Amino acid sequence: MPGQKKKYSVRFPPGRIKKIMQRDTEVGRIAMAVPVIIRALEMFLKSFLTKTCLITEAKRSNTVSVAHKQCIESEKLFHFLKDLAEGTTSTATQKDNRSLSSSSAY
Amino acid sequence: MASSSGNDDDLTIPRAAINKMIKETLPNVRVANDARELVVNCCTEFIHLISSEANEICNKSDKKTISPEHVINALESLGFASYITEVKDVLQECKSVALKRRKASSRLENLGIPEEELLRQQQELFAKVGFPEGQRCMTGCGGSEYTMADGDEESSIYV
Repeated sequence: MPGQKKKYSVRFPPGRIKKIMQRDTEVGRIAMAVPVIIRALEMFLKSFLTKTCLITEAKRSNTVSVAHKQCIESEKLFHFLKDLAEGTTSTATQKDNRSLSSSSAY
Repeated sequence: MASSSGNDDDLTIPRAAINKMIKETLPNVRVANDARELVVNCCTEFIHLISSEANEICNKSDKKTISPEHVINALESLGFASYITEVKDVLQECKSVALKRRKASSRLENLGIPEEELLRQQQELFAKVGFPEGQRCMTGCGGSEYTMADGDEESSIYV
């Protein structure tokens, strides 16, 4: 196989990522770990987005929306996002309640 | 880089970077705004997840600084072992870049000739150019001050 690595053109800001990491007061000094985290983040996003898109297609929708976040439930790997996903459900539900009189699926 | 808005609580990956990532991963797919927002927050959550696990591993190993190894072990223990190969490649790349930089800077340092020798060479050069022998004194911070008496004029040259 040729040595050509897949290179994502997106570059996440290392400084910002370091700040996010250090928001956790338990986290102390970090040495050369940020590039590693960046690559893991890119891979995670790719996997997460792809799986979410599959759900969108399965639901025959043409737009990926928060309604398609089932992969967070179904994949054990994404369970850490459950609380975050709950948050979006409540706002989406509020919107629905405002616009529709009938109750939407929870 | 000065951040325009907000305190540390609003710290997220820039929206533009996420949008680019979405475009790259899912070209020709429309993604709603609320979904993009969720993705931004998922990034932050992921970073916290990995950092906190890496931090725990770091503490257990009696070290004070989180190293890339700690992050790799964190990925493994959290179930992201499939990411490790590519992540190790990135680490290798970073290490070789850092090594090159260190080599380059140490090469520059080796060009440094001891100060006495430099002064001697300078005296020679001045002599060649035709400056009369002048007084010289060394300042404490590595520079030298030459005061030349040339007829009526006196000039000081700081080196």
